[in-house]
Amino acid sequence: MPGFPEVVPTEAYLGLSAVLFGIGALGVVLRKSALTMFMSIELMLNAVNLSLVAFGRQFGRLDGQVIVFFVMAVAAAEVAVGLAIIVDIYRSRRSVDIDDASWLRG
Amino acid sequence: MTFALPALDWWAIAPMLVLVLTGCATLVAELVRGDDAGRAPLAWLTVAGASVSGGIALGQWDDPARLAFSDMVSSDRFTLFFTVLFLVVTCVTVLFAFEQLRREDFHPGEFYPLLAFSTIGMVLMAAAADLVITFIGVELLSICLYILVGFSRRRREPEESAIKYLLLGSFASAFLLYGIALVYGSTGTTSLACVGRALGAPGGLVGACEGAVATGSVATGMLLAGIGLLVVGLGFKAALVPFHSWAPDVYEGAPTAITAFMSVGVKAAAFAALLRVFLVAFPTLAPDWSVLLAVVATVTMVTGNTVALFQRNIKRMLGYSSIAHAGYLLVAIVAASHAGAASLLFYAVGYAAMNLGAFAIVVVLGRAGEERVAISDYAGLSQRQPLLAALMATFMFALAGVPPTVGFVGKFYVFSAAVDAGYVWLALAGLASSVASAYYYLRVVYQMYMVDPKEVVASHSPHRWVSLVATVAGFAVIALGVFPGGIIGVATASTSFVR
Amino acid sequence: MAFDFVPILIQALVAIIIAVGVIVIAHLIGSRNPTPAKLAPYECGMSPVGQAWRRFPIKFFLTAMLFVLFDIEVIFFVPWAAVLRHLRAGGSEYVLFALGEMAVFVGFLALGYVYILKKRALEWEA
Repeated sequence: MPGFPEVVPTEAYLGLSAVLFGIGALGVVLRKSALTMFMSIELMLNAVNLSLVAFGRQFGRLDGQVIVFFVMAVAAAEVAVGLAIIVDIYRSRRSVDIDDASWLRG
Repeated sequence: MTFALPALDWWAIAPMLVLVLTGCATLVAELVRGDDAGRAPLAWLTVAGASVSGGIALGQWDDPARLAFSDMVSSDRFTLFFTVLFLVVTCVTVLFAFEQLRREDFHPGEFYPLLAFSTIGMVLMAAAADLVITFIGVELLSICLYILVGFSRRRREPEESAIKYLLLGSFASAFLLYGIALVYGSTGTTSLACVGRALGAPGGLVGACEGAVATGSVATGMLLAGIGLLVVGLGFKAALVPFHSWAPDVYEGAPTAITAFMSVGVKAAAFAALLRVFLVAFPTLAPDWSVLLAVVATVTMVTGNTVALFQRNIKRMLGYSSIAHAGYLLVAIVAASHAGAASLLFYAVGYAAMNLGAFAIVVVLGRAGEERVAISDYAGLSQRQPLLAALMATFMFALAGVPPTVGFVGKFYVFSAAVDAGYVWLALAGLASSVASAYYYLRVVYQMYMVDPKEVVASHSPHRWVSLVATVAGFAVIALGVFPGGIIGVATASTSFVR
Repeated sequence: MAFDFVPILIQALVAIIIAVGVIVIAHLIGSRNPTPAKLAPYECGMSPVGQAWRRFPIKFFLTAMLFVLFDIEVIFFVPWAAVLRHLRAGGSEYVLFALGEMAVFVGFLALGYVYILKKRALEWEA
């Protein structure tokens, strides 16, 4: 059938990755709940993971996927520490709204 | 399919290994002796581990420069230079923290392993020969710091510093990672030297470079986007304007020991990583990125110095001052030359001496329950504590860049490297803003010497170790200002990979 | 290009039709005899009280965070297991190398595990 390539081109993955990264970045900028902001950051990291795997496949090499392993491990550590801090804040003031936590100027 | 066993050059990463063992040992020691009396051994164990690690680094000085662990880390004089600098900063932080945490009656043992692990992150950033290692170093450093920033018995301020740093820091990490992905996508490799070779840089220490695209066939648009994202990610850690908004809040809210650690160690680590990335991987693109960085440097110097004029809290003032100093350090990278790189290393050492000294005075003057960080708290200090006042004045003059201190010599080297590279306007902007900065530094001196103390303050026991740090830093600030040759020679030898 | 996703589109359409169809058919031909017990949401035999959106004990978070950490670390076992078979072909030197690497990795994980055990992070009734 004409117009049916064997595989999805790398550009498609890169485009999807850029869109997901943008959605994540907008989420961090626009949302006020610390938890939602944190989830948006995870979305950004995973968007980059998609790019890395797509590049790795394009080059026919594994290093893109190896980097993704490291990113996932690092992201898990970040989540653990982040959740701990957010839970701690919630315990002391019953809210994770970032506006409530901004008496520090700036 | 067959594999060759990777060569394991343990000696090349020995300083880091010692730090890993130190961190684990303090972790276990804290389990065994969980009480507050067990904190002193933890502090000494950390200092001892850092000393052994630093000793090994000094012993490796004459080893040949090489890449180790599948071309992931480079063991060269640049790495060793920053390793020793970071270890000194870590030891000083331990001394600060020991005094301060004991005073606050809040002394969790986790502080010491976290500090050791974040030091490993900084060393990795300086040693990185691969963008993946840069990322892991940044994250190791940052994740430990997210916790350290929130360390205090007082709840609100440190907590908010921690959440702010956490959210903005992870946000920046995502940009850094995206930049790494785009560089990988356009060159087929994440090794700094291999990226450099694909872009036509003259060789230095280059590894195997399997998978890298041929020289000259790089997807330029994607690569430039990646470089821009790297600037965002690393610029955030270095607190460059406009990615600085976290810095003053975090510096104010964090314990003073951690503020000192961040404003000196983390900043130096971020610049070590910036220098490695830009002068090993992208030297051939210098015409493209140096203008961008020159603009960022100018904005950073002007913003930092301007906003610092209006601060009444000394930690916050030093926070904005450290933003301004990040601008000076960036000028050294803009020069993109061997002299510029050497001046960056020299300035990092000088800045460590003067800023750690200033923070030592802040720690000494603080007391349990109140940090006494308003600039007006320093009124009449020369009458009560003449030695401390003299030291603080020395550090303020040095930060303002008055001769014969190291602050003056450092600025001289940095700005002359910029002039040699053709950035006369940048050097002039730096000079103008550092002249303006004298106002807020000298305001502290004015308070100490010209204003009467507003209250009678009961004298308190002097902190032996912190006072010692302040004294040594004071000597270093003057000695390096009068005899800069030794450190300049070492810094020049450490940056020989820059062409 | 545009045809690439036609199969996915068809599959999505079929899924939507089946889902909507089942609900519509159930409404049309089903008999209705509502009792309070039948109208109540199903909750594993417990009587549904209060809202689902409520505070969980902090213990859940602690255990969940520790689980996430150890769960993700196992990711590094996968590439190790993938090359182990090839390493065996290289002789005992290669196998020892692989085992040594994994021993160091598991050693660090075990240190972390001992740490959280000693800190009593896993004891439910603290």
